[in-house]
Amino acid sequence: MYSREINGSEHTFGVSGKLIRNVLVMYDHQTRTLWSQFLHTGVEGELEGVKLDVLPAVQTKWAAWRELHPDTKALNKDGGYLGDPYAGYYGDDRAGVIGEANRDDRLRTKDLVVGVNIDGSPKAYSVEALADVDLLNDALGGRDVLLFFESETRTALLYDRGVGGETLTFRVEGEPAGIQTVLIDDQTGSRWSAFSGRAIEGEMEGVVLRRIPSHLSFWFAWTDWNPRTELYGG
Amino acid sequence: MSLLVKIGVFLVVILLVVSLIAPLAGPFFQSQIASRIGGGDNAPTAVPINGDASSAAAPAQQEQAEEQDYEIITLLGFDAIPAILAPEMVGADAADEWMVDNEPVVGLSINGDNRAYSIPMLSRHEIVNDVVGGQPIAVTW
Repeated sequence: MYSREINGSEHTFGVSGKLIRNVLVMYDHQTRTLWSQFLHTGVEGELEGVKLDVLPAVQTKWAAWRELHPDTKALNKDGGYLGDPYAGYYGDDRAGVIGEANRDDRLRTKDLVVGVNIDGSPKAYSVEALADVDLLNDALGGRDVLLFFESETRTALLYDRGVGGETLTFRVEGEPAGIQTVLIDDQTGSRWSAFSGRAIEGEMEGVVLRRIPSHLSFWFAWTDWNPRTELYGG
Repeated sequence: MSLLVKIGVFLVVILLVVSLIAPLAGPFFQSQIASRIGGGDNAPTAVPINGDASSAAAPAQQEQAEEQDYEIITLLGFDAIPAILAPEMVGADAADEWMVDNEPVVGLSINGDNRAYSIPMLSRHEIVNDVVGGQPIAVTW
């Protein structure tokens, strides 16, 4: 998700009908610059080369989100649009409408990965492999990160586990409990909500881990954009 | 007129026609650009990296920002897929009437403002222009 503020002024975005490597190209109504969704960058027009600020979002399921945020608002569907027009596409072998640019056989075309790219160091985590681990204390792009993955809702949350100059390492308390999963850090023994990244008890209480944007993506799409990606669980 | 002059006039006319048509025709066809957009500082390198071509680059250049050659492919016209410009939001109880429990959503929390966007709905519109917690944002799919 992106901020629509560019150089201090608000822009609105429409769908250009164009794609780069199977991924949406947007345009803004104010300058008609074309923007790559994947690069979150202007690629043609007045604002070419300008980057949009990325805001961490969560891809999850409605029931989980609603339980976490009882006060949530939801986009009105007007009672319509019950199905997803791409429902068939998600399960088949097609690689977008154009096909793959950089075929990479480490995983199957439509395998799902959690992709992250910190300062030009792309890494993909196989969702299949993550189903067994729940939690990974990892390092990439010079940063210590924590990846929490909840299999049932396929929710991936990536955090910076550096807190006040110290690097924390985490483990799951007891058994993972979906959105109620609690984490404990080895350094202070504080208890943390895995879904919100907030310390709920202990020395760190009130501290919130910084989120790092990640994408749930098809393997072919991730490798098309990140041909030399590192892979966890290949 | 001599033959030479006739040929000269002919060439000038052709050039004029081409120069008039080219800028008009451009946007209607697939436009292809090679751009140096990627992570890091976007520093230009001498060797364009496209797939395996990176192995040919010097080590110093490999460390440079990822350089991507890509094509912009036109499939549909502008706004053939209608982005949402004025999203209507409802409360969770109202949403429960037409959202199923395992419906995939994109959730966003800014300044205590929590919002969920149904992914099947996003598939129909691809972009929602919204203001969340006072911040103008775009949800894209």
